[in-house]
Formats: sequence, C-alpha cells, structure tokens
Amino acid sequence: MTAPAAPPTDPPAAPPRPRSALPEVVFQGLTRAAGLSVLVLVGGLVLVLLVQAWPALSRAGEYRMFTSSDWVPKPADGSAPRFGVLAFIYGTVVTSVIAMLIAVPLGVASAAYLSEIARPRTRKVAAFLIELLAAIPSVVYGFWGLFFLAPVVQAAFNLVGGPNTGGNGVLSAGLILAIMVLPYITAISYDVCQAVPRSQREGSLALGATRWQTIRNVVLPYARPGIIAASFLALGRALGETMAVTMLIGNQAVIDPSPFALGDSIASRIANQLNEADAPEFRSALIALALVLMATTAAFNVLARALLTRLNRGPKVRPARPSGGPVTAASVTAARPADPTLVNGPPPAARPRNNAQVWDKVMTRVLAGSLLATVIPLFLILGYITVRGAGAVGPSLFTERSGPPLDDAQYGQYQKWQQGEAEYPRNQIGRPVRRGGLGNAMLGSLMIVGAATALAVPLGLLAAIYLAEARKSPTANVVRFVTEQLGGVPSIVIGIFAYVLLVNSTLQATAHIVGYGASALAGYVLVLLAAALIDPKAGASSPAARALGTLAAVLAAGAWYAASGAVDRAGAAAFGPSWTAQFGFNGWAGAFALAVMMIPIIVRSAEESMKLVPESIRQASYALGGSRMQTTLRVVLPASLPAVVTGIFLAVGRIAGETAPLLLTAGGSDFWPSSPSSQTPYLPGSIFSYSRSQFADWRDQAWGAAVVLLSVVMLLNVGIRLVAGKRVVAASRAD
Amino acid sequence: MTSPRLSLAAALVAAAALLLALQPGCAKTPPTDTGPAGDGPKVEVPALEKADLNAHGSTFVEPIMKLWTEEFLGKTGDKVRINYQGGGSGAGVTNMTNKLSAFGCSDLPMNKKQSDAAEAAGGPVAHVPLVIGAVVPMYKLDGVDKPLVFSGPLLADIFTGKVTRWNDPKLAALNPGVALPDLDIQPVFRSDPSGTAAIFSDYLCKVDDGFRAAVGTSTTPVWPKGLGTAQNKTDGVAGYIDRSPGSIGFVELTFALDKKAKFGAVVNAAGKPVLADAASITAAAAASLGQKQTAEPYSLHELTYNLTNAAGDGSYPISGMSFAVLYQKQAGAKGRAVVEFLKWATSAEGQKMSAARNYAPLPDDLQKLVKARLDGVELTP
Repeated sequence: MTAPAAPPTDPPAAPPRPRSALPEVVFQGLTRAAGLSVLVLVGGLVLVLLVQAWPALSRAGEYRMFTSSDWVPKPADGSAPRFGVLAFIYGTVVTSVIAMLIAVPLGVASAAYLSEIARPRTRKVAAFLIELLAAIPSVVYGFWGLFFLAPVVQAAFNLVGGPNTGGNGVLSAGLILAIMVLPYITAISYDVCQAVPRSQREGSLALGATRWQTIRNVVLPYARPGIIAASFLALGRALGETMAVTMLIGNQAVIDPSPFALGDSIASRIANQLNEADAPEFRSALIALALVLMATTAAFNVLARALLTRLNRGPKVRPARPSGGPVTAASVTAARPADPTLVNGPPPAARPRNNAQVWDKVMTRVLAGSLLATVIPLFLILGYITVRGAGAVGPSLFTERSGPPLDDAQYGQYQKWQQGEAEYPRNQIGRPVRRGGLGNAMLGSLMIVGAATALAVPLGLLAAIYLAEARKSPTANVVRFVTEQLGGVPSIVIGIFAYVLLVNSTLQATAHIVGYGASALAGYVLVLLAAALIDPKAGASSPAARALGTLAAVLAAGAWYAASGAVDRAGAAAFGPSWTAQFGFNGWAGAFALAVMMIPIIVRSAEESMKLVPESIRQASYALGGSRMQTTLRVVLPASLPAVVTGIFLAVGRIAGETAPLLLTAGGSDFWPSSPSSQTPYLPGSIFSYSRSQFADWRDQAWGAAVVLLSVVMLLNVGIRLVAGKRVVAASRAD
Repeated sequence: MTSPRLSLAAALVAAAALLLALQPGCAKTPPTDTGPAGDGPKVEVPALEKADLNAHGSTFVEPIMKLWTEEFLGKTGDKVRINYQGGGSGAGVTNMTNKLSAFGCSDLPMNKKQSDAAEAAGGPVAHVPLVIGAVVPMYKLDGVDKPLVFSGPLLADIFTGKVTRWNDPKLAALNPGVALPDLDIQPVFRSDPSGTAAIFSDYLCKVDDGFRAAVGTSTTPVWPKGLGTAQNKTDGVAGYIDRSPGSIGFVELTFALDKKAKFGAVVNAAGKPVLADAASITAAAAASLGQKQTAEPYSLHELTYNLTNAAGDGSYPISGMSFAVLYQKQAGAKGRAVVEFLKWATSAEGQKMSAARNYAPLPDDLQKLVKARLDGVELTP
C-alpha cells in the first residue's frame, strides 16, 4: 500500500531515535507489517468482493439489476435469470428509516435527560442498562421479536383493521432495529452532550433560562453535529443488520409502501440464499448485493466520522484528535451552529415565566419518559427470555450433543417422566429416546471464538502499537481510517469474504490470494527494514524508502506471479488431491470471519489506552537509555494492560453471539467438534434454526440456549465493568 | 461513571439468576438400553471402518435422517458418524456436486443442468428413493374442527390471490355445512428454494392451466407480488402458521402430523376428496411405479417417479418422493459407509422407523430395486 510522501513520523516531543539494533528493527518491522496487513486485509476484502461480483455487475443491465425489483434466480421456464435488487434496497432503507425515526428522538431525549437532568445514581443505573442492551446478540433480538414483538404488532394491526401477517414485515423489522440502535445513539449523544462546555450551560441558567430551555437552546444546538454523527453511525449499523431483520421482515422481494407490508433486506437475502446458490451468476449477484451494502454503510460511516472530527475540532470541546475522513461540505455547515447565541438569538428571558416553568416540568417528564422507553425493552427481552428459557436449562442441555428432535408426544412424555409421572419415552423402534442438547454447539462456539481471539489479538495488538508509536504519520492515518471503516463493515459481508476465501475455495486458490498479499507486504516492509538498518536516523520514514518499498511490493507480487506455476506444482506434490479440493464448511473460516470483526475493536481500544500512558513515562524510559522496543514492551504495554485486556474482552463479547458470518462458514454439526478444520457447530446458529422449529423440544432448547448465551454475554460485560470500571459502549463502538 | 459496588451487585444477581436457571428440576438419568430394539424387522449392517461424513439437503427428510444417523451410529459401534444438516434440497445437490457432502438429499431429481454440472465434476450420479411424503395444505382456523376439503383449482386460486376470504363461495361449495369464518386468507410461501414448493407447484400446474401460465413449476415459484408472506424453511412456514390464525401454507405431511395441525383433504384425479396418510400416499406411489416417466427431470434418471395427481380412487394427489443423490463412483471407507447407510435406511428396518415417523414407507418392490441400484454403485478402495 502506498502513502503520500510524508514528514517524519515522530511526534514533535519524541526523543531522538535511539541507536538501532537488529531486534529493534525487527520489532518495528513486525508492528509496521501488522498495521499494514490491516490495509492488505481490507484491500483483499474489497478486491475479492469486486472480482466475485463482477460477472453479475458487468451484466447489470441485462439482469435489470438496479432498475427492477424482479428477483428470479431460477425461472421455471428455463429463461435467463433476473436479479433486480431494488426491492432489497427498498426494504433495507425503509426498515432503517423507521428505526431512525423512532430511535433518534428517543435516544437524543434520553441522552439529554441523562446528561442534564438525571441524578448521578439514575445516570449510573441507566448507563449500565443501556450498555447491557447494546450487548444483546442480534439473534436473541430476532428470537424475542419473533415470539414477543410480532404478535404485539399483529394485535395492533387487528385493531386498525390491517391484514394478517403474523406481525411480520417491514414495520416489525424497523421496530426491532430501533431497539437495537437506541443504545448506540443514546451513548454517543450522551458523550456529545457531556462535551458541551459548562460555561455555556451556566450562562444560560444565569440568564434565567429553565433546564428545558437550556437543553433546547444551548446544549442540543451545540451538540447537533455530534448527534447527527451518532445517528449516521447507528444508521450504518441498522443497514447492515442481518439476523433480527431476516427473522422478522417476511422475506418477500416486493416494494409495497403499505405500513403492513412484507419486504426483504439486502443482508437478509444474502443470509437466506448464499448457501443454496448453485449457479455461478446467482452467487455473483448475491455478492454484488453485499458490495452495494458495504458501499452504502461505508458512505454513512465516513460521513459520521467527518462530522465527529469537525465537532472535536470545535471550540474548546476537547483536544483535537487526529483527523479521520475527508471534510465534506455537509459537515462544515452542520458544524457551524456551535455558538448558540448566534443561531437562536438572545436567551429566551422574555417568555412569561410561568409558561416556561410549566414547559420545563412537562418536558422534564417527557425526557424522563424517553429514557424509560429506551431501557424498557431490556427488561422485556431479559424477562421474556428468562421466563421462557429458564425451565429449559437443564443438565442435558450442556452434557448432550444435538440429537433427533423428540416429537411433541415424546417430548410431553419426557417432561412427565422428569416429574416422575410417566415411563421414559421410547423412539420409533422401541429404544429409549435420546434427548439432545447443545453441549456440542457450546463447545464449538468456544472453539471458534477462541481461535478467532488467538488470530485477532496478536495482529490487533501489534497494529495498535504501530499506530500508537507512529501517531500522525500519513500511513498510520490511513491505517487508522481503514481500521475504523472495517469496524463498520456489516458482519454478513465479512462472512462472504471468509466464505469466498476459505469455504468455497481450494487450497490452491487461497494460497495464491494470500501469496500475492503477503509477498507485496513482505517486499514493502523488508525494504523499509533495510532502510532503517542502513540509516537509523531517517531510516524507514524517508520518502525515498517509501517509494522504494512500494516498488518492492509491486516487484514481489510480480515475482509471485512468475513463480505461481512452480508453487502449483509444489503444492500439488505436497498436498495431493486436497490441493485442488474445495475446503467446504469449516470452523477456521468462521474463526477467520470473527477475527476480522474483532480486529478493529482491539486496535481501537489498545491504541487509545496506549496513548493515555503519560508522555513523561516514555521520556523517562528513553532517558534511561531504553530503546523503542524496550519502552513499548516494558513500559507502555504494562501500563496500559488493563485497558488492553478490557478491549479484548469487549471484542469477545461482541462476537460471542455473532451468527450471520458463521451461517456462511462454520456449517454446523450434530457431533462434538474435534477440530476447527471440520464442520463445527455453534450456539447462535442452533438458536437461529431451533427457534423456528415446529418441535417443542427444539424450541425449548433454543430458549435455554438463548438464556445461556445471554448470561455469558451479560456476565462478560458486567465482568469488564468490574475490572475496568468504565463505560463499555463508548469503548466498544468502532468510531 | 461506575461504582464497583453496583457492578458487583449486578454480577451477583446475574450469577444467581444463572445458578437458579441451572438448578435441575429433578436430575434423572434416562434408562440405558443398548441391546437390540423392540420388535420389527432387523437388518444387519456389515462391519465398517471409521468414517466421519457430512451430508446436506432437504429439510423434509431431516427428522428421519437424524433418527437414522443416530441409529446407524449405534449399529456400527460408534464408527460411522454422519452429520446431516438440513439446508434445503438446493444446498444438498450443490454440496454433493462440489463434493462438500458425501451425499445430498433432495425432494426433486436433479435437472439437466445440475446433472451436467455433476457429470463434469465427478461423473454420473445415482438417485436413491428414501421416503415418500405428501404436501398438505396446512392452515390455522380457530373454530373449524373438521378438516376442510380443497380442490386443486381452488388451491391455485388461493395461492395466486384470487380467493382471499375464508368464507368464499368456492370453498363453501366444497365444504357444505361448515361455518367458515369471515377472515382474510393469509397464504404462506417458502422463501428459500424447496422441493416442497416444486411438488406443490407441479401439482397445481397439472390441474390448473391458469396457474401453469402464471406461476409454473419451480423450486422457487414466482408467486404473485405482495401476496401473503414467505418464510424460511419448512420450520419457518409451519411455525408461522401455528402462530397466525387465518394463515394457510403448504408443508409436508409429517410436519403437519407432528404438529397435530389442521390440514385439508384434496380432491384427487378420480374426483374423490382424500386426506393424506400413509395408505393414500403409498396408493399414489403404487399407481405411479409402473409408469414410464416422460417429463424432465424424472425421465433423466432411474428410480425417479413423479407421484403428483396420481390415478386411483384412494390416491392422495400431492405426493412426492425424496431422494439421496450420490456419485456413482465412491471411494474408500467413506464411500462404503455411505452406501451401507443408504442400504440400511431403505431396508425394512429403516423404513419401519420412517413409517413410525409419519413418512410413507417405500413399497416392497421399490425397496428391492433400490438395493439393486446401491449394489451397482462402484466402490474403489
């Protein structure tokens, strides 16, 4: 990856570079390679998606891809398939808009209440609850939505004479999205409100304004750019959400403006059909959908980041942070009303006092009500799932592997047997039934999450060290920006990347894809290493070294191309038929996808915490003759370790309940997993498939599994708070 | 922002809740019984080497597959582990073709395009009938206890939105004396490609010209836009109907029976209303077995019979066969395990299990043909 010619990477305060020794240079090379490998990873992701989507995109006109909502992958009459995606784009946008219309006002009102009115104790409790809400896995939201929200929505439809859709449809999907993004909007808006300088508030109050007038005329206008940014970040999440939406939206490829309508979203369609897409053009069209989704979410994320950057540069809010995205015209105008008195005129002292006080009282209640409405879903979800699931959590859920479903008669008898009221049920050939459990899925989930952590932590930490040390170098800025963007990529898209690379691929193909990336990366880093060895002073950061490195990267990729024939022969000789055999579903592919999702969270939290280590401590280390490596490993890293560990646990908590990417990669299994290289079961997938079963046996297991998954994720989050004592949402969101 | 005490309290509450949830109501141990199972036919399985294999496909056969694989595991002394994951017939064929599955299960024979792709990837494919099933109109209608009678053309009208109310005169004419509610009909479709949809649409095409012109036979029929809801997999459809009064969908008989759900009788080719059960489905199979298949994809393979709209007074008209598909050439311990498993599953013992699971067993004549076909699979070490 190239970077524009740059000034030296060191921050102005850094000491002269100590004498370079080989381990020192190797360490720097390693961290730099880790940082750059994030670029290679994201570049690979985009490239792989583009290549795979190209057969469909290049014939977009023929398939009427972006001009119709006619999605017929396998026409009955054998005619050419049609891949019109407008219905999915419509469904994605409409559900997200519904979510934003509900979540933004509620979230901002809650944030304003928390920041301006709430007592410290309320604030603490509410912040805690909102964090828990943010930690609930999306498959659990979907499960709850299916059994709780949808019937409620249908009851509402019946009241107004709507059709019978079982409550499924665009509206329910929008509602569940609103509940899911609310914690994000509330948490970020709260941060932004807190950043409004005290003096502004005090000025307003001193002029006789009520609390509500202060909030409306001072705090919210001041915080507006940040609130807009929070909304965009939430929008990016809503657009890419897969599991909860697919369980509720009705899966119909139609554009219907009725509020009772069914629909389908981009992510939901991919999750439903990718595994069954047998024709190459069908698969390609689905991957083109993923590309559209990724481009859309990326656009909103960039916009949000630009706004936040503007805000952070605003007067006296916070010390300026390194700039992220490009500055757009929109962000400039949105950032302007930072000075409320200019926009809103003089403080509203002229209003009749009584009226103002009444309003103040009313609005305080309204804001408090918003906060209540924000946290109520948490209790509904936890309560409903605990009530339905607690009884289903028995020993066999943990000790047994998946089994054949008991039919309802057998299951009824089984439950009676547990009460001692009946014989043990027997199966169709007179053998005692084996009631299955999900122990194998729990173990499989542990394996996949463990493997993902093992992959992501070293890379993420090294990349974070690189970013923390290189600070404002242009390359580091690019790496930082790209890492942040990776954090916003919908999980289903990352799932497709893993699917293309490690499931629907051969060792041969993957070796080449990885080969090109790795050889280019190695070429670049080796040249920079050499430069650092030759000239320790300017070394790796000189423009000449960068240019040379880029050249080396291109040459190395070219060398791989030249050697690819030999690699093929060697591979075929070494691996035999498995060199060209398809991988098939496997746990490693799932672990890889989850690792890609963890990296941005780990990098961000680790870099932030390393930057917080006081500069004086670094200086002291250098003054004692410590090298950069020694300073990093012995001083900075230990000092920031608690925060780094927190970040890792956060990342684990975030991926533990992740379902969409595993649907496309891990494959599932009824047996105890032996190694990730075979098809591996995973708990969220079992919840997803069992939740919709018609067997009461399986549904109960799904409820039990939801309780287990929720408990693990909740305990993880509570544990982090115990250890770190800091707000979790703020640290986990990848902005 | 946080007090450790608050967090600690929360953690304790959460841990207590978890422990409470874990409290086993009464931890009883199920009886262990590894000896030969009850009465009924026994079919011995030859000694096999250790083999782990994956299979994908039809969700229709998933419940019986899980029973079969479990029983087969015991029969082989825990040596042959077959991991069957129902991902739909399409996934079964695709994964078999790509050799990601040792075999696939499909509710439809492979079509020309699929056969050609498989031929190129791994040679000819054998089709093995596994079970016979039926597709039934399953509905949720509170207050109507007697099974409703539908005709083919009426089902076509309902699933294309021409008949929209439960008290429609056409439905009333077929069901004299039944108090039909004044309620919207909410059709439920499959959102994923499925053999169930293929059998159902194949039948409707045979009995309704308008349906053939407007929708056609397909694993993913293009239903009229904006009509009803689509749900993923049979699980999704059956679960949805169970939750939604006024809804009607098409699901496999086994699912409806397991559910004790209401499903309707269908007027057959002989003009008789027939409720689906093992006898009426086997009757349809017996009526179809001797007939030469002329239409693709049934004409492309051996042992593939189209059972829809079968002749005979007692034949249920929406019946279909599910197949295992596997490459004609099988290698090693895995190949041998696959063939032995399928032989056992289609034997008298395996079929007895499927009958108890509400599938219609293969007729005896067909069981013999299947065994001969499996004997013909080439096994290489």
